[in-house]
Amino acid sequence: MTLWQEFSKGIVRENPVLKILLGFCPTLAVTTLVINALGMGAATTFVLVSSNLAIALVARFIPENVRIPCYIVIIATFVTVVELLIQAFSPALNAALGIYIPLIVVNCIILGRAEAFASKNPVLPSILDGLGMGLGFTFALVILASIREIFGNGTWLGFNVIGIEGFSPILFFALPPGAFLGLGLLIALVSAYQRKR
Amino acid sequence: MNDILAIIIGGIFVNNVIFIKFMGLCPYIGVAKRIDTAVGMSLGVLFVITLASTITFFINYAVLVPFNIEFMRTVTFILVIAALVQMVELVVRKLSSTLYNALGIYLPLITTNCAVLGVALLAIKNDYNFWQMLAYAVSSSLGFGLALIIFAGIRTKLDSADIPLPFRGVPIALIVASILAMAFMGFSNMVK
Amino acid sequence: MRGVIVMTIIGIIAALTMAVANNLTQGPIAAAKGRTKYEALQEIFPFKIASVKDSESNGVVFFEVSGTKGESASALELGTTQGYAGLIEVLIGFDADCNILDYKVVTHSETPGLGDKITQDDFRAQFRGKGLKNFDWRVNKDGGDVDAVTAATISSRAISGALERGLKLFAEKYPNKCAGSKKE
Repeated sequence: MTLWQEFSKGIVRENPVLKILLGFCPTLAVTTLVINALGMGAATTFVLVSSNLAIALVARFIPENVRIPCYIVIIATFVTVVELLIQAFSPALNAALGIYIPLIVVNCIILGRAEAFASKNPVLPSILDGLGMGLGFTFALVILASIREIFGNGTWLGFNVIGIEGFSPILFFALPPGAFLGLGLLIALVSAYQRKR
Repeated sequence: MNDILAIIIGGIFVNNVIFIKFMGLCPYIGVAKRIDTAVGMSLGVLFVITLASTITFFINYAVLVPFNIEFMRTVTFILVIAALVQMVELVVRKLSSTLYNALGIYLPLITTNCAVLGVALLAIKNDYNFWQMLAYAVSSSLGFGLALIIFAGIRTKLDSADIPLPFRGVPIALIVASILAMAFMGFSNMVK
Repeated sequence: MRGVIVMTIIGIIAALTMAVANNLTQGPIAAAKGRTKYEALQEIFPFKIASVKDSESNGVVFFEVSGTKGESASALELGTTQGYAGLIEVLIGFDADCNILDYKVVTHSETPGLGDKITQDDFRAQFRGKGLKNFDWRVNKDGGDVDAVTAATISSRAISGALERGLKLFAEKYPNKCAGSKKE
């Protein structure tokens, strides 16, 4: 695989949410607004890239039996750093994402990439893999958030996009059931498209 | 006493971990294929969430707060949970082989179940006292179990249904979850 | 044995990294919190705020706000866990008659698009100028005067409950100033 492929595979072909079906918890929870999806995507990408980098560097020194605890400590460290940074520089995002920021630790995508990729590959491909997967995750989040924000709130990224007089948002999409339905339909769509080809 | 009751009803129905808080979805989609495995997983989660929340509660107020190192909460909690799951697995294996056969395979999966970390963190974030925390942990895991068992029941029926190909597997599970979440939202006026 | 050593080293490096990050961000986090509070107070009071003095008693923070032209007013902040999705913290500003001037929700995790309507102007407007005497602080569903947000009765109840509690606490804290406005 070329470096470009290592980077690009996570965005569409092996999209962590829509194809590999991981990380549903943050995907469903924060996608009420596009801005929250972007914030969560950026935070997760940061953690993915830095933990992939750190693990690619140290993996060969870690004995097999303490592998997972070591990875968890490394990931949790970067999550804490991100949490502190968000608290310091974007209190509004901190209030919106709340408990789902520390929960990045248990996002299966991150431990999954550490195990499946970073522990077996050199530094540069690992960084690109993390970046690609992070962007793919963000991409999936933004699509779902766009559906939910446009129908559930009548806006996109805070701008009023539905210019119809008397439009009343379909609250269903802003609520938990709308999140489940939206993601279910998205994944079905991706799978139907794949079958067609 | 009233607030304990509110927390319990809230944990099971109103703020159901799966349908409203979106935590613990991996086992919901992966494990809940048959009712007996769903029951086994629920029992394992009930045990781990209750124990983990209690331990992390004391660690938080006896270590993290006095030493002013609350920024290490995430890393401490996740390590405690991982260690706890390992220990529970060892103890269960020693104590009873029937219990181990019933729960054993679910235990490793629980570490990455975000409901465990989520409940432990929320108990601290909501400023619960000990009894409130306990009520919250037990009722959240009961809510988790309820969701898992309901879904496993539906899934046994889904197996014989004629579902369009692209919807098979995860998409239909999410759509079922959507309908169940709507039902659970009906509980939202239960607690005053 | 090697496992233990490696884990310890990683643990120490991780702890150091977090400690450094914590040290570096502590200042900005405190500043951000202060700024949020200041902005919230500024949104409540119609005059330009010059200084804020805060004091805490029993988990409730009281604010003495002075304006640039010598105005003065008071506010308090309290939390309630009666909301739909956990803790709601409100900052309540009072007018000269010890009635509600306005309030601002500082943190909440209510459902976006539904429960979060409690932060919006249409809902807040009904409380302005209301005190313990001239208002029934129950939601209309329970026979009171509060127009609850459609489909978000719990969030509405949490807010009106917090405001009522705020009024009582405020009257207790300033018994002289609020004499006559306290419910018998």
